[in-house]
Amino acid sequence: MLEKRTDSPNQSVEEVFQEYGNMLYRIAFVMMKNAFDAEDVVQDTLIKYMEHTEGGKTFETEEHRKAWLIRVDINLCKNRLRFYKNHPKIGMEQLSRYYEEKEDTRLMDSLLLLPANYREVLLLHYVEGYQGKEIAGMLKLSEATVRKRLERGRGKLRGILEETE
Amino acid sequence: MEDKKWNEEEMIEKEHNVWEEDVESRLHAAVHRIVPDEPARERIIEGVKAGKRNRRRLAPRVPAAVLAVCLLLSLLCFARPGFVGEEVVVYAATEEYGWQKLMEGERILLKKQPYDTTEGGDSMEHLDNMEQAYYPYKCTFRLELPENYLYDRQFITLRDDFITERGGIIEWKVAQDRPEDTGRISQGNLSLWIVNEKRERIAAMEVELTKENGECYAELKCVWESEAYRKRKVRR
Repeated sequence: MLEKRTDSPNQSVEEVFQEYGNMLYRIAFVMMKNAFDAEDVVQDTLIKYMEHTEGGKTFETEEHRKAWLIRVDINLCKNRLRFYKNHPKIGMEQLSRYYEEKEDTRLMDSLLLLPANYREVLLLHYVEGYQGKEIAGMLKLSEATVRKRLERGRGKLRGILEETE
Repeated sequence: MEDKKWNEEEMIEKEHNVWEEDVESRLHAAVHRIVPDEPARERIIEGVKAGKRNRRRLAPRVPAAVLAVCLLLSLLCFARPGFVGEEVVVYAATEEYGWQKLMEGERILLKKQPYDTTEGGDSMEHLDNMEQAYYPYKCTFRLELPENYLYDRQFITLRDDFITERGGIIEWKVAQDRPEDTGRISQGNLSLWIVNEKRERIAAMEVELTKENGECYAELKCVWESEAYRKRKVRR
């Protein structure tokens, strides 16, 4: 990953939202499976960011800031998921507003059917482009666990896709 | 014959890679299309500015101390010692991932460890050396059990191999392949029974052990759990 030094250590919350808002939203959306919770999670992440920087803490690099935001975003999702006894599944109508191709809807539907621990590593690896070591650091897991979850997640995703073919 | 098999494996590997690349790019494109619309963006940023958190509160906030006391009381009242937060898990030693939890229906490639001759002591050395010549390597498993629970095992023989136990580790001693075994797949089952402190059977598991092309694999084939044990796991 490119290590970029931060020019302004404490970016305003608007700037952070401008730069990382979409990424935080799509991670939260895939984790929470609905737009309402995704909005709340992004909002809470930004509030946490505000509190963090107002406390005088800075980030060494831009990558550090990004990784911190992803970690907080995912942790807030997990906290929320713990509150829900039955994780609600997203309806097709919610997903289909993003997709015209049926295949894309089917792929996303399959991704959302995976357990949260597989979903998060697949998302960080395939979508956000992080490597096993970086994901391990973010999620406080061992590298071997991340690799295994990636392997199992891929297998499960493939299984679901084949079943629904 | 071997060439044909190798080619088939290579084809499968290639198919896997093509599939993965295709899904990776589709997934990347599909997830990147998820973006908040303009009203959502406004709601988020307004909420942040107002410092509002959890617009839809999920549960009333209860002080941590109160929660801790409730948890302690419920543990004292309902829990059997050593059971809370625990379940029966079988782990296998693998080369790539270290100790790996076996999951039903998933075949795992096992780590082949050279047979260790040092554990028997000097007087046993000649016996150990003989054994090592017969069993060049071993694959290992361990069970994680709730406190006071015990297990028993039975191994349906796999040619000359056998299962033994040393220091809480189940060892599958793998015998040398005979020339006539080349290209053959051999399988055997390791059965495990778990009993609680009253010696009631609470679970039974079957691990299928396979030798194929010089590699060893394990797969958790069949799991039976008593109704009481299942309910406890669900409650947990």
